[in-house]
Amino acid sequence: MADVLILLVLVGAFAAMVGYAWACRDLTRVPEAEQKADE
Amino acid sequence: MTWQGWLQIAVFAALITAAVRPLGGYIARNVDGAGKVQRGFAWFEGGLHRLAGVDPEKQQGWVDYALALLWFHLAGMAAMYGLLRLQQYLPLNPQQMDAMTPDLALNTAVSFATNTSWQSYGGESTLGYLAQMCGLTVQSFMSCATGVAVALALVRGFVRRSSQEIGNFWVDLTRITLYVLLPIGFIAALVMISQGVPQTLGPYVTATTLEGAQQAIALGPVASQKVIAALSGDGGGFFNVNSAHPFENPTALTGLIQALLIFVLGVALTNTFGRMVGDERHGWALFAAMAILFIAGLAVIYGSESHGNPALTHIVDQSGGNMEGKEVRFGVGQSSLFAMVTTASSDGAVNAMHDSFMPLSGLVLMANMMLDEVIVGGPGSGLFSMLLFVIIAVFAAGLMIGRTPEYLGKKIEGNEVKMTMLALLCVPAAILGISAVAAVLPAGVGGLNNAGPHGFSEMLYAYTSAAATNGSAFAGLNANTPFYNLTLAAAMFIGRFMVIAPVLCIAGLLAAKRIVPASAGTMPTHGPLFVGLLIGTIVIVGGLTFFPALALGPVAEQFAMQAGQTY
Repeated sequence: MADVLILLVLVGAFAAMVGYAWACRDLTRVPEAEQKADE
Repeated sequence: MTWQGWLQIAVFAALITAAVRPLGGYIARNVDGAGKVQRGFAWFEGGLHRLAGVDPEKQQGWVDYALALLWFHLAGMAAMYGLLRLQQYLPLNPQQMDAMTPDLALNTAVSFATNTSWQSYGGESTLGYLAQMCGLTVQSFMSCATGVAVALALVRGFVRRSSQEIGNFWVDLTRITLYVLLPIGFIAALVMISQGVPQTLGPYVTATTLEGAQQAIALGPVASQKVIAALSGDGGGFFNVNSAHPFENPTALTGLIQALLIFVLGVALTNTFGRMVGDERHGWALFAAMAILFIAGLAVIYGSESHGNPALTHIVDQSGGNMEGKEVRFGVGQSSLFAMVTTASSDGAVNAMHDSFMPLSGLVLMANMMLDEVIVGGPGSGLFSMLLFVIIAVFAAGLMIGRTPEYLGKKIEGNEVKMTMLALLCVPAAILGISAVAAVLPAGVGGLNNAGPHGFSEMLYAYTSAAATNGSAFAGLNANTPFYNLTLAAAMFIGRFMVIAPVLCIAGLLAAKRIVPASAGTMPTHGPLFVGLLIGTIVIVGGLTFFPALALGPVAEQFAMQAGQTY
């Protein structure tokens, strides 16, 4: 039982990391209008 | 302090400096380019890629690179967890070691997959040879290669222009392992064996002592594990006392080789960085900042340990310095050097008990780790952590002189600074947050063996070591409890992967930018002024973040010791 729980925690931690990476991507998204203005 | 002590420090510094250019150039040519060795073994590398179904020509954006890295380590942790839980049914376990408990197995799996090698167990009394070789040693290789891969991806971000791609994780991982870690590890293992480090799959030897008692003398595949543990910045010991064990570190030469292996990849990568960006002076600037911080820290430790404990001068002869917790073969000189090397890097191997160092030395050891692996650090992780501080330094300088911050022709803008702060704040949040929780819970306080500020230092050191992926222990803390195993695993996970994700994001952001040509107003980033600015940024950011916690631990203990009270 403890093994299943721990493996679930591991998978959950990695799922959270994937979400975290996704959030990083969203945090750094530059609006298209701003990007064009820069160029 | 003795002239012999300073001589061995000088020999170490000379050898490590001499290795920077040749090894840095070798890595740049054969991992990021197509050097002679890479071309010679291209058939073998290609075979491995075909076997794994990897297209080496396919480049990845930062999200794909990060996902490949995350899934690879999830699989590695799960496999290692299974190995540790099932070792009693598996071969190569002549001492019939039993399974680890679930919490200890999780802690160990996370520890080695994150390049930390925190060990809440004694290797020779807990693990069979299969778990040591296929679990710990394999993870040492993979976690090290991952750190270097992330650093190279970040450097490519500075080099590439208007690109969405930062490399291919699988190719980087394969090349670093094949062309860097395996050859150096193989040669170093042979040298260690020649010096008397065991390398056998035979069972432990039973000896009869002079009193007639039976004593089991632990053996095993020590040399092969020890060299990659040192080279990879992982530092996990085959034996419980790590490099203080005479089989793991039998001679003065093996002590020097281990210290060199711990530092060599971290320093060489500064030159790899310089070559990749087309100007080696930028690499030397980073190396200079690392060297100055290293020498300053080592001088404090060596001076403090040589002076001994003023509260005990009337009880113990301390003419040789503070010898408590030191291996008598090494004394104060080599113990101070090794302790500085192991905490300035992310290695964590020890040849003396850090718990027994003077409070001021303990402060430097903790500060080394708290500064986020910038004083050489782990292979790759030291370089990318230093580059994070570079981004903060050029950002601060840009604000001061009223120009858009630039580094290597790339404008440093809001998004890069946001991601840098995210990466730099994860480690302090894990260290201070979890230490604070442990300091008020009975499960946390119950693990302490000392009272007062020294007890707090034991706890703070443990979480610092875990979140900074160092793995050395202050000792004195009973860490093999469900509470410590699980919270330390969380600290290691945060300290590794929550830093890597924003670093790869920065790589992606930088790669997408154009390169702005240098002009008369561009701030030089390879001279002494920049080195000073970088060191100031590191010390101020680190100092402000951790000073209150250090004041409660080693600073308070130092003042108490001067007033005659010891803990």
